[in-house]
Amino acid sequence: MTVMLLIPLSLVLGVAQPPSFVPEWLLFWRPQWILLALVFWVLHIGYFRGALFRMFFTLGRSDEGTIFRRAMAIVWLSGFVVDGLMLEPLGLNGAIFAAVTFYLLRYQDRLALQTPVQRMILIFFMVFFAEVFRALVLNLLLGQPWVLQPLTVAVTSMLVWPIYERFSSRPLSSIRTP
Amino acid sequence: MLTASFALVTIDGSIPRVDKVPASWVPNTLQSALTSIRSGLLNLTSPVYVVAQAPYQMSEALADITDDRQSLLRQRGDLQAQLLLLQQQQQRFNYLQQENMRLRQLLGSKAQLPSQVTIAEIVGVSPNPLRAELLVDKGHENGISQGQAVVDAQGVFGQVVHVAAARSWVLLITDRDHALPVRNSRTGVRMILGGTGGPEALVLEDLPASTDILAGDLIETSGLGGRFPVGYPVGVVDALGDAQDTPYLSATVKPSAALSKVGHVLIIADGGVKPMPTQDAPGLGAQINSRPEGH
Repeated sequence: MTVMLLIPLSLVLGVAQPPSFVPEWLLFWRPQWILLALVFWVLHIGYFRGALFRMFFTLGRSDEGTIFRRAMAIVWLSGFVVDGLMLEPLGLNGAIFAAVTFYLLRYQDRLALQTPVQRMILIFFMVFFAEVFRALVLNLLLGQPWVLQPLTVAVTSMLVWPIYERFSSRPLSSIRTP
Repeated sequence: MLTASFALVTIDGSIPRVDKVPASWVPNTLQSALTSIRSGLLNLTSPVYVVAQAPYQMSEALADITDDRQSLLRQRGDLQAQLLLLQQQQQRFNYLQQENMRLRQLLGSKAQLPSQVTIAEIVGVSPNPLRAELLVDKGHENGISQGQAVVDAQGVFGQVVHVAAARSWVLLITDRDHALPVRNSRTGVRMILGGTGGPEALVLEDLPASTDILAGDLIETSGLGGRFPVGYPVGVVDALGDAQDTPYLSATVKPSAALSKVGHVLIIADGGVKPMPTQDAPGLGAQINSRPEGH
């Protein structure tokens, strides 16, 4: 249920416009809400056991490899929806989401031992490299100029992560496995 | 998966957004398939923009409800005065248009009629601060197609770049990718007006140093290119660049349209240029196709 709310909320936060009195430069500091939702979802994938999750990820086979592969396919396809939302070249967000998901699932045991500060540093680099890749593609294909946006977005995403995780984890605490 | 993504990104990114000429190296069938997918995704995701705009819509609705009688009466008085003024201008416009048609017939030139327009409401703004694009609530179902010109009450606004069934993305004239054929209304000199990416600035570049242009000159559409109708105000020359070290002149232009304030825009069908029968021209004045709900 958390994810059912978290994903639409992140999409809305990702495109919402601030009120007119907010200076325009502040838009460059908007956190990468959609990527944060993806990271949160992948990091907590072991806790989801709802009907929807079973239908997509554990139907037929429920081993970790199957969940891994199905998660990769679903986040890649979800990237197209975000491409449509953000009006970006098709496949761009799919590539970013698939790369992030692969890393998080491949090293999930190691990442589970991270302290909150280490997790924030991870978020910083993950968002930074994702945004640099996005800026590179948009620069090569659409001539979008290079600005400091990858850095600013990574900084704000890193700073909001603890609050975001705390807020999003609350409904999960009741269903956590021991 | 990554290989497929890179291939798709390269192909989709090569399809021009503004120009109708397709990318030469991508098969036409693939381009039309990707355009259809994008339209489908736009339909699927546009409710997100509607939800994101909902707080502003609700605050406007609340303001309408809580308006007191005195302020409504004041608004009504102002609108009546404005209507009277516009009706007087319309009479003058009709006379001038008929005279213009007679003169064109005498000259044997091809006459033009104002085209059909569709009123659209802005329902979203591109989240990327480096792109000047807006989402409007009209699409294929309302006769909107890619490349149609968009204007507001004050001047040229932009053009339609992506169309779905009930939504369209409009590229503003201030976007870096946008260029518009214009002319100086005082001298008739033709120029190309480009966007700068800034919210309130356009630029005229590479003008010959001898160009007769002054701060305060009105820049209007020239109609060349066949996309924007001729004679619509685009902006006013704000400042001229220093031409001491270069043989070319540049000028910044302040857009006439209220690009960041307006809530409704007009989408002009077929670039606003249509051949007209030489006699008994029906329906002078723009024909309004539809009205936004609740207005």
